[in-house]
Amino acid sequence: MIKVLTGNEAAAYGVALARVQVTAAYPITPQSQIPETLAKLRTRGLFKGNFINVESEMGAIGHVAGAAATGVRVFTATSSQGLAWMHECLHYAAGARLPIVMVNVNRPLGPPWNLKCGQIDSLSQRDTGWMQLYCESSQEVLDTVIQAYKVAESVSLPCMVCMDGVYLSYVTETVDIPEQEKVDEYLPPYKTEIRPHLYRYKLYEKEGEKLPQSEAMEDDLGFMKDRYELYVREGKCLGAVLKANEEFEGLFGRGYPPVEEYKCEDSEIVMVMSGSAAGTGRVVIDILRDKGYKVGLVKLKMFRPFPITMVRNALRGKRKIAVIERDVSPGQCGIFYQEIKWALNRADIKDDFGPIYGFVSGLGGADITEELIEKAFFFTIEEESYSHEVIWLGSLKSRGDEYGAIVS
Amino acid sequence: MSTESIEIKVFGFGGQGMVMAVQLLSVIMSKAGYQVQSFSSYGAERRGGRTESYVRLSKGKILSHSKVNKPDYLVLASDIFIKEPQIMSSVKDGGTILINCPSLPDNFSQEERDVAVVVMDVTSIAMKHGVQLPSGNPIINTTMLGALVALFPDVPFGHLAETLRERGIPAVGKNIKAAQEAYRQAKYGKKSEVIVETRDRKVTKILDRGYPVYQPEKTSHCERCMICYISCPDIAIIFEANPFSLAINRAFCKRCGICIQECRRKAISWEGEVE
Repeated sequence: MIKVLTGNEAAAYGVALARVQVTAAYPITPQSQIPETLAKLRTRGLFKGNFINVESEMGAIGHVAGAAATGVRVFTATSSQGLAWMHECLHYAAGARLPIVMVNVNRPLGPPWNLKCGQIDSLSQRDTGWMQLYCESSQEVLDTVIQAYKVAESVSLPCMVCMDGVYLSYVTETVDIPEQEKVDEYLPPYKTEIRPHLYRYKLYEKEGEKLPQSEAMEDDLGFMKDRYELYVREGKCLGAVLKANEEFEGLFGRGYPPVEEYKCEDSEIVMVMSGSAAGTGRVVIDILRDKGYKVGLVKLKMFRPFPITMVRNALRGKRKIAVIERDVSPGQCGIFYQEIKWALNRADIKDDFGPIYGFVSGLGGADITEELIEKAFFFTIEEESYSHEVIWLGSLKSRGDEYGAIVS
Repeated sequence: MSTESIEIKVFGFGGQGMVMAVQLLSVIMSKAGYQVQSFSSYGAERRGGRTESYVRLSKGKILSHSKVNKPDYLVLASDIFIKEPQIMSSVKDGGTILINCPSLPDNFSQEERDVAVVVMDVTSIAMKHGVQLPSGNPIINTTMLGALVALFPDVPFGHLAETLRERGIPAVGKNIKAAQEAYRQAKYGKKSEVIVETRDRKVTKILDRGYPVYQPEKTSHCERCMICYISCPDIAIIFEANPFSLAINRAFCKRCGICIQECRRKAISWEGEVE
């Protein structure tokens, strides 16, 4: 069914179609319309799950973690400061192998207070063990929420579905809402024989007997064994994402690769982008190609676990790589840029890859326009020195002060 | 720069309903067979704060997610925006500007560019049909949509009426009538000319009202009930107990007017309306 929906509404439809059983959420701009829409869908009989009213985001994640541990399908949503407020429980969810799906609407943390767009909130949580998927359109948000349950439940790990604040959360777009019957075929009810968080007591067995946690904690190697198991489990995520996407595409006729190569085959320069701006990036690639430039776009949908082989394959042999992202680790560099650099830098393969230019843009909801993306492209091809760790992309003029355009 | 979409940009103030207007427009255009995209940008959600809204219409997929900077249609919900050359020059050649105002200022000129200008006193049309809040504030968005939809020959008015009904808009009949009058005038009136005669513009005082001021001696005695203080959503009212004094803190006041509405003694009134 075709409907005109905002990204937030699309997320809520995804949750309803996935037959989520327990939800809890605390409102925060720009996420509030997600639980609001769930409430509307509930009154229309389209969403049959429960909603627990909680006092904070810590309460929200705590409640859904608890519910997930009993074996029901759960959901929560947040953004920015709210996600930060959940931080310790994010570690808990991964450590406990709970297949929670959360939609995070990307908004930066203040001060200065900003209610718009930035990806530093979810990227700050990259070490918690959650999967992270970044969406480009309202349609992709709806579809990814459904796919996320399939993936999360198959590997038993939590998954964060991210969408840009304002540029997706508030964007009304034409969306095709899948039929419930088809979604039921794709996503069977969540069943778990062994409650996931109890698995690890197997590691704490001694001569067939389960140890109480207090004794298990005496074992120096217990934690390391657990983290090795988690590492192995995370290694299965990419396969699960690919499989879930393939099945989705077969049933619904559309899919989203974790790393998508757009017009990269014969390209010399590749731009790497993520989120809603990747759509704008596609438009620029087409314009530049019309002008005769051999340029392509890599859209990075999956950020955690980092799809290292797919990224290497997409970027191998390219003359230069430009990364444009909506975040910066203060004093360091862009986080996508940093991770890509790490992926390409192994001693035995690093000569296969050209230099990478890391552009930071669109912070706090600043627009990443077609003009800016083109500017980044021309800077990349013209720049011969390779000395910048951060290239600030965008006019930093604000209310009369002028800081400059692209600054290195 | 996107070559395949029709792009629309709307400037308004919080409280005029332009954010909702573009959402309604998306649904209207979707009915007309377009792929649609719309969103808005603003700082804090507050009455009187500036809002920008963007719409893209296409027969194919819409990929771009950046703001619209060079619109085909520039819609100004208030004539205050006429004073900003950056805004006025942003419309594409061959495009159209739709302005809500009774008449253009004498020094207004778009002659050097191939741009059509549609001027309409949308506010007065809305007021004439009773499309207003109980407090008297006009609701101009649905009327504005009537004028805008008229500029798209392939979009029948029926889609607008249907969308308003489906949305469950209160007093939908009045809204549709007002939108219809604006639609007819935009469709059949001449472009670049004043479409509607100037009417009594009492309503423009909404933006000129200024801040609430506490002047119990000028109006009626304050009974120190503190209802204004409790009702203020921004905790913008500061008071001292001994001796009693009360003031509105302009660092936080967003001029919503709730304190004026709640005060039973009318001890608080609008700055612009007090002699």
